[in-house]
Amino acid sequence: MIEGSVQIWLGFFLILLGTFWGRMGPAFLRNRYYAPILILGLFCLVIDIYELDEQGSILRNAINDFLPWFSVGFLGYYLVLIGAPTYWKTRFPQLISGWLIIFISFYLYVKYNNHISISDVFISFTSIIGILISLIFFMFLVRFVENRIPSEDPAPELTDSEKEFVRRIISKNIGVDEE
Amino acid sequence: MNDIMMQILYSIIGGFILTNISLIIFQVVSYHPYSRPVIPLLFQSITVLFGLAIIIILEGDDFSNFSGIGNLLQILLAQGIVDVMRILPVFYVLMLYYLFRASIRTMPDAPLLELLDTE
Repeated sequence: MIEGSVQIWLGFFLILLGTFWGRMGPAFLRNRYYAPILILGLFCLVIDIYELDEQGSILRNAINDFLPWFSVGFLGYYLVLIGAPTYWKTRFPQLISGWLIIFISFYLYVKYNNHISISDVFISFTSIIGILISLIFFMFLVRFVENRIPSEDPAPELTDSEKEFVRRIISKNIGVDEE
Repeated sequence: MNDIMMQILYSIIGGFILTNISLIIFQVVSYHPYSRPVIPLLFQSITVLFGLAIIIILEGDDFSNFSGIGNLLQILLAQGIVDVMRILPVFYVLMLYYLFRASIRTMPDAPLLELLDTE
């Protein structure tokens, strides 16, 4: 049972790790290993190798009920967003197939989650209170720490060579002939 | 305390601990020279322990049913994850409204983009 617990909590940790590495820093400098780590974490959660203890089984069952509709719905959302005329061009094949897939995800939700009662969902909603308290507390902590950092002196003016360098970059980017 | 109140308390503290532990992991794995995670990490760890202590106090003698604090932490984390998975469909349906609006909206004319197409 220990192996099962280790596997499932390792999966949880790897999913968080992959998500955070995938969102950190500027878009051109993100950790290249985030996707394999995320997929490995998902496999750890889904693959049923070892026997699980009670809470591990509850978690595994919930994940097995959650993943079918969520992954299909995610794909549907993705296709609709690609097909929608956000950038002036409607792509009808993606848009229509996306909406169809979203409707399929509803069917999958009902099929896999018909044992969940409305009162269960209402009780689960109370977890939002805990989540909000935690987030607000974190915001105050970060604000407190950031306010304690002494402000730095204003940056010195650019030198002539730096100004020339910036001028050349901007000229190049806006397509102005330097000569 | 009756069963439903206890379930609600487990859900609240489960959500609280899940978010706190996620943020703790976030601060550790995203460490860089300009981040200052020591104070947030310290206080968040204390609040996680505080959440566990609330359950231990309320369970009283029943706490012996759990095989330790680690086990209780697992139960609350699992509760938090299960709760998030249960309430996500509600937000999924709410987001459909915006997705539908994005699907059917007509965009204003963009003369500059048309210029690009003619070139």
